[in-house]
Amino acid sequence: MLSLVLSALAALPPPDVAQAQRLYQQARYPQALAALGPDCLDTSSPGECERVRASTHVALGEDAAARAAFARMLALDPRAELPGASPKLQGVLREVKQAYEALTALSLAPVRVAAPGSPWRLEVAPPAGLPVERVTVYVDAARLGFERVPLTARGTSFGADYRPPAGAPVRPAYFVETVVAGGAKVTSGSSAVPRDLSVARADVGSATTAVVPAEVITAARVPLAAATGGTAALAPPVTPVAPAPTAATGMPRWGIWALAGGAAAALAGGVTWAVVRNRKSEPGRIVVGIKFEDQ
Amino acid sequence: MPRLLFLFGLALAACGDGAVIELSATVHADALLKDEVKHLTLFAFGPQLSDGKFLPCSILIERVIRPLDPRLEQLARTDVDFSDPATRRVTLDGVTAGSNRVVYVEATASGVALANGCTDGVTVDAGQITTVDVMLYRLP
Repeated sequence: MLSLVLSALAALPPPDVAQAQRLYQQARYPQALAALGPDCLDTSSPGECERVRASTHVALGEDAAARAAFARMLALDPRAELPGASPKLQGVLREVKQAYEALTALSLAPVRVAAPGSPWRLEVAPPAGLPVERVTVYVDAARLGFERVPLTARGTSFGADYRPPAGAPVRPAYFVETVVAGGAKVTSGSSAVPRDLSVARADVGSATTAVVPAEVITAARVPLAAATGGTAALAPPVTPVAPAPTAATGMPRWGIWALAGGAAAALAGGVTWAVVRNRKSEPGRIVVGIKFEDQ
Repeated sequence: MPRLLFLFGLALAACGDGAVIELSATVHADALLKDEVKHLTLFAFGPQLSDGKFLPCSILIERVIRPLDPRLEQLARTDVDFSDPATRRVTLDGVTAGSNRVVYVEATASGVALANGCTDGVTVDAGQITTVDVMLYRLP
């Protein structure tokens, strides 16, 4: 049975975007959607396909489907626009784009922990404008790698309790992956560029809930207690040691190592950039297969 | 003069009782597009116009913007004669590597544009060959 379904799906023709565009212009909207097929995956111009699909749904008054298609279009090209389109279409896209951009900046609410070892309550509140199907948070609480934490919907927000691994958190980081209705996936942060997670003791004043700059922890290795007090129980048990100045420079030893490391990183980055730049400047070649509509 | 008189007489005769039969016919000679096309011009464009706006295929297909418009970032161009219908694959060389390239094809005969087609979202890797298909539709 499954093979029958799969073979039937495989037999579906790919979306004919240009034909759909023509049908759309002729106000033959159902035919335009039929020409696009069930999705825009099997086409060389998926963004264009989603644009025509969204425009057609708007014309049919199918707002949710139109927004979903626009979201998929933005997932392919966040700066996509509709030059020359009607004000109605422009308006729908503007709203979707605002919601989409808000999702790319979606952040967890500061976590308040009752006591060391207590679970962390992870919560996000997606913006209105794009119906959200699911939200997943990836948390790296102790520099051990990201853990996947699916959030469940509760009203307009999504949340879950997360129990961090044993040991105190060191610069907890996260990123959020949101799937909106229609399948478009939007991420806020990434594993390469994660967001800093604010974790604070719940039994202390509001001043302790401020986001602690991660650099404070990593660069100087100062316990969070020194900066915030409330997060002290969550900070690693690092004993503050006065940095020893070197005799020659008067600069602390860690400062010299930091400078050396920074210089090495800059050199490596420069070499990588030069290699990538040279590779990108090398042209490629496009072989175009010509087909005719009346063949 | 005699000829004019003859024609006049013929016209008078036509005003008689006999029914005038009028015939009209329109002959559609729908040649296949592939047989009409004599020349192809292919372009590769960057994904954005000079004003920063996204370049969709639709404005090229609908000829809102023409291929030589200075706002377009032309990455490559190739002109080929299409006298041999078997020549169905044309190469655009020297396309700057990157994503979201737009390939636009215009088909002409005797300098008259007959059809066009476009595809976007084309990724070109440095030193690599990317293969795409472009469907040409007859211009209205």
